[in-house]
Amino acid sequence: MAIRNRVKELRARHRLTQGDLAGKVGVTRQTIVSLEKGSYTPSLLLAMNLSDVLGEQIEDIFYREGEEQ
Amino acid sequence: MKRIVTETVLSVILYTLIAVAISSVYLPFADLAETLRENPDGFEITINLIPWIILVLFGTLHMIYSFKARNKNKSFFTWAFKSMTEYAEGDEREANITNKATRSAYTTYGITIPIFMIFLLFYPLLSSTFPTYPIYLLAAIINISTIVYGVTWVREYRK
Repeated sequence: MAIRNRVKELRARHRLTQGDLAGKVGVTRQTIVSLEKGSYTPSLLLAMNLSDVLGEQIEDIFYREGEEQ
Repeated sequence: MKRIVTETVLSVILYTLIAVAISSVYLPFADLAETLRENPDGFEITINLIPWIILVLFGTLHMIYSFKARNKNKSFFTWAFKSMTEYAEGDEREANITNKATRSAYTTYGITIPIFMIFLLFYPLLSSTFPTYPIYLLAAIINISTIVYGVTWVREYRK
């Protein structure tokens, strides 16, 4: 079962570029690109860092496919 | 990604140059063994140094490129002794991709080595015309695995 996310939407809400977000969570921009495309499932640590930066609970950023909120 | 492609190509060239350099001393060493059997008191050996000079020059340039292009968070010790130049672990995704590519390369060893063992059966037929055949077989095994590593890395990176 694939994991989807709202990173793109939340990043836009915070007016962050992919590079800005990558710098804040300590990954490369390409990782943010893959994350937004849904082709990469992050580690728990990266998910927690994204949660801190985007100001949302992890379960509000990531959800199982077919369980859209 | 560009760095991985470059490192893969450089490694394939390096392994090929190593095979050429080692092959260049195979016949002189075979002659030396023959001479020592017939005359244990003295010997003479002539080696073509050109392949070795090319190997050292290329190896030095490769080393300089790899050192400059390495992840800056990697210490000199880790770069020099605990890693391969093709590894990329700039963040967790790259580390993941490196794991997958290394797994593919390892699987490739499991397939190529038994096949190339069969190719060794042809050595008696080729030993007079192509005596360094086993050296090139070994180089081919590592080159195939290195190429598989590079291709897998690029494919996974583009996902």
